[in-house]
Amino acid sequence: MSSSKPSGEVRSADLDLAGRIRSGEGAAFETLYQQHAGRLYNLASRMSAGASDAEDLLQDIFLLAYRKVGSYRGESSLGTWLYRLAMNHCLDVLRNRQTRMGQLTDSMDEPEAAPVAAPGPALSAVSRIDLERAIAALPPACRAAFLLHDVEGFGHQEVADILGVSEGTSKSQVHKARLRIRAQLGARELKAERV
Amino acid sequence: MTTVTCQELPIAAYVDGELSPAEERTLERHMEGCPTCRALVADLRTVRAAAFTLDRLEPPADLLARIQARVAAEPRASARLLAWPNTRGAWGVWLAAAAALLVTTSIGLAPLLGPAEMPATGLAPAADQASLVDSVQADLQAAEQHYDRAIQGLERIARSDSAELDPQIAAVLQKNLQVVDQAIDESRAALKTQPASSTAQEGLFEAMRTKVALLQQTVELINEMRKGNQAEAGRLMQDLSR
Amino acid sequence: MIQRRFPLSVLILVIGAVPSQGAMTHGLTIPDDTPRAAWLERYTEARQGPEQTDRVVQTVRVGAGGALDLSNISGDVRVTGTNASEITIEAVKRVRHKDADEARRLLQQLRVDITTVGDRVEVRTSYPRRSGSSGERNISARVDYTVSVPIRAAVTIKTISGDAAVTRVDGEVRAETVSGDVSVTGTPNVTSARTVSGDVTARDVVGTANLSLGTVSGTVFASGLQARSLECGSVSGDIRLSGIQVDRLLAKSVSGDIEFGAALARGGRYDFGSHSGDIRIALTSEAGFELDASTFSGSVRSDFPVTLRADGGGRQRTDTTRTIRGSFGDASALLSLKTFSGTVVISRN
Repeated sequence: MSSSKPSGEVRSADLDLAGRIRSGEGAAFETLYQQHAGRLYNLASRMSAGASDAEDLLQDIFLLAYRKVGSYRGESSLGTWLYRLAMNHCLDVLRNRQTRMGQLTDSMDEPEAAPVAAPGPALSAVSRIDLERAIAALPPACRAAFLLHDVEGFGHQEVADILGVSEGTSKSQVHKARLRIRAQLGARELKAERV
Repeated sequence: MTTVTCQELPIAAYVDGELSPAEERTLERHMEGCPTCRALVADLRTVRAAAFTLDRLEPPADLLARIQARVAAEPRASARLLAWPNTRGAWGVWLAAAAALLVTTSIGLAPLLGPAEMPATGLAPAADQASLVDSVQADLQAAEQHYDRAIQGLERIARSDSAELDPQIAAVLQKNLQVVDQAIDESRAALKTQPASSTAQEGLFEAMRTKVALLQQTVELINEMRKGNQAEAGRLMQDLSR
Repeated sequence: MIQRRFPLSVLILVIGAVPSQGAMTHGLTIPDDTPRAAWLERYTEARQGPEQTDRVVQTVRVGAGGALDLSNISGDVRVTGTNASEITIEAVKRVRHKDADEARRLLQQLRVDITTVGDRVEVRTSYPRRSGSSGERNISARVDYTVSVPIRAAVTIKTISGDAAVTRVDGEVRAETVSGDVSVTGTPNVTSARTVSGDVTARDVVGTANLSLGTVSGTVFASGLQARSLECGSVSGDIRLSGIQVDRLLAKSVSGDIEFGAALARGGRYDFGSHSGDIRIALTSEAGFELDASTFSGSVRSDFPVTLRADGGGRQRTDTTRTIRGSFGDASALLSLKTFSGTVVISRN
């Protein structure tokens, strides 16, 4: 998403694409889809319950994008704008679900007491299934930052732009996520050894 | 053993590779004597690496077409708001409701996006004082038309390519499509007698949604069978060329 | 298109019908001494030739993160969890052909490919090339799989014509067939069990986060189930849910009935929808709920005293024999029951 072109050039290309989408040009919409659907699908799937939810979420996201593209003014890149829209939607859905079930939701900016790093055996190879499960157990905001940074490879500044927080918050959320995952995977390993 | 010193260390930044060389050296000197931090750094690196190599999931190939169909079904609310300023009232609410009924379905179709494809909804300009019920009717008709076209498109594929399916399965799908068709007919008939009944409306759209979903399932099955047959054909070619 | 194929479909119905008859089958070799079974065997043998079989067994050692990914075309798949750290695959290939040599050739070409990638075992069935014309469908070849996996393994199985059953597996489970029954028992992390023509049965599933059970023409049974959310659907079949504990439920059928016998969770959301089927809810607790029940031409009845909500729109007087919108108790759960011509009954159990 970070481009090597001068930002002025990128923005005008983005504004052009946005304009064409707004006027109903199918090819332009398809271009946007091809550029970002893959990554967004991965994000949506891991932010939610899995494949079927991800399909619905992805449809919602692109539909929302179509509806709101008129409000894109070029302040950020079109990609960042789209990812912001997407993550907000995923977080909303996730939080609604959790609120309905009476669970507490975490907040992005709450002052962090860093979880104590658990001493213990180092992790050996991490199984994908275990990791997916550990990710699914992360609180929403934490999960969002981790997925964007560690799974999808965005930089902290980009993550901050997408999630609407400071770069420092992105770093601390990603760190918190890694610690929690480590704790969860470590616990499983201990259990396995005892078996 | 975790000490206060360990807690203050820029472990996170180190794992991300964001420390200056001097800061890195300081941290590494600490780690030489601190197995807890060593283990932590190793684990965090492991988690980060594992995260980056997670499965890359692929959205289904027809998802774009489904999204485009939904987009095409969007009411041109913005256009209407420009042309007819008094649509913001109750009428606007009904527009949103009709659109909402559509939004929850995935319609699998070839791309529909494009002004030429937008169906005429037959809505008269605001100057014509149509009653609320009439305009709701018109919007519901528009929604129905969209479902109908989605259904026709899928039916065409399902009918022409059902040879790919095992006849027993084709028969089951056919029979169940008839069940859904009956539900659609009953709902339509009910709506004729009670156009304002939300139960009848919901019944119709639910049945149409189910039909679209069932047809989609049929088409997906056909595609899977075809893939299987193609794979076999591929092997056939391989065998022949040996 | 389908009409032209009918004569062939008689044969297929005869062969294909057997696997979906409920309990575990091994095609026609089950000792079934009913006259019909004997007739079936003689008919099949006369029509298609005697059956030739071949058995393949392979064991793969896997660690705790073991996973099975099995894809079959025709034949049953049964997977069971064990305390061993290995995946054992037993595949029985069966082929029928009037010409014994051709049958043997087909048997050899009917391949079971087992690939191991780390802890993941992939099993694929590939069908032999048909000699001669491609007119006749290759329905006379099948592979039945019996697999044992470590209890903690993850299991994905797909077959097209045959049953799929998974028992006592703790890892993530996905089981799919097209023409056959799916049954999952004691699988706390089952996420999806689906078929087109056949039943789906989920029993003693405690702990899954989100679960999807689906069939088109069959029945969905779920009992002894605990999940965060459950989605189940059928078109012409019934849905029968008992002793289930979920926070979110979506149950839909078109012509089938829906039966639900369980307690509602606080803040839970339960959506039931059918077209011509009845919806019968038997609640086993006094948890409060908000109710939205309606039918177009059927009737609605509730044993619970529901405080009716004032209808905000006021567009039409609600007919309380067809619509009830109101709340009971603290209205914490949401209960939505919608049918077109069926009857809605909410009773106390």
